[in-house]
Amino acid sequence: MAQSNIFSASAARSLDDVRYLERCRQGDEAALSELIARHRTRLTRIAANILRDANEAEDVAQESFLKAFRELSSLRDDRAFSGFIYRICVRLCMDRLRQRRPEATEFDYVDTTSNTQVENRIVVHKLLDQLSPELRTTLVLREMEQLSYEEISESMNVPVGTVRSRLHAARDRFRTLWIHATKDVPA
Amino acid sequence: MKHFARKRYFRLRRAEASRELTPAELKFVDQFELKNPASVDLWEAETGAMEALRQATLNPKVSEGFTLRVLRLHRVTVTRAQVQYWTPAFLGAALAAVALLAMLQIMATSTVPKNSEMPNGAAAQRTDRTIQFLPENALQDR
Repeated sequence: MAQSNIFSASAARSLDDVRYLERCRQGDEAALSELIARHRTRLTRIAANILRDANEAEDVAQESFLKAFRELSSLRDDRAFSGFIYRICVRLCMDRLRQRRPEATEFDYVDTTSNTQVENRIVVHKLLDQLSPELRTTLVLREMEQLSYEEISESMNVPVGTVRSRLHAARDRFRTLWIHATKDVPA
Repeated sequence: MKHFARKRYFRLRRAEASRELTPAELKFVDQFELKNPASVDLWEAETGAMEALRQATLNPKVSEGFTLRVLRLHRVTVTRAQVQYWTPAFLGAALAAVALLAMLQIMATSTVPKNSEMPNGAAAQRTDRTIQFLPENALQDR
């Protein structure tokens, strides 16, 4: 799959990345820390939303940077650095999700009309746990991170058609679980 | 047939978020909703579920020492990689040196000089030869 720089907000940003990467290859630690500073917030947020754990997310973000710096030689186009590092992050998150043991979750019915944001988060967390790592990641990247199908396709290394079908399945499954977990059961 | 219509209905409602539906598509959606109120309920449930999902987005703050920690770990990784790269060479060189020293040591201690190279009387002091005694009556006979 061609490595396109789809995650970068602008071409200028990716050009900055290119400059920093050149300096990184010459062993400039200031450039390394600049690269970390540019991507750490978004990487941590993506990992936190996929894993639903802020502490684990930071570990994954850290691991992503180390892996990216280690595998820098395999990056063919420096402008694609952001896509490269986000792909590593998503892959690491999915590996962690696969290692987790699935838990059988029992729900007390939740009243969606009066629940607080905290309760809502807990319900969403439990519902996401019921999805497979592939469906969960696709749904989170689309609905929470607002990525396009092409961006999801690149970050998960699957064709766009697979993203569409996974997203469809994920929404259906999440909706069913949501109806089951909330009081407002449709007739 | 109904299954496909429902699938199309959901696809169109989901597509509404990213594009405007054509008049034909809008007509289909309207007609389908009139005939299938249960699907409308399902769609509303999905809208609610997706809204809840978006509201549950986490936005954690990165801890203060994050960059320094990554840099330190990166330094460790680089050093470890260099050590791993050079270790076999150093190990091989060390083994070769030990083998060479051992060989020189063995050669130095086990070299036995020839009798002709020894000073007078030294040959008799050698302990690695068996002394052959003459029979008792050999001298008397002489």
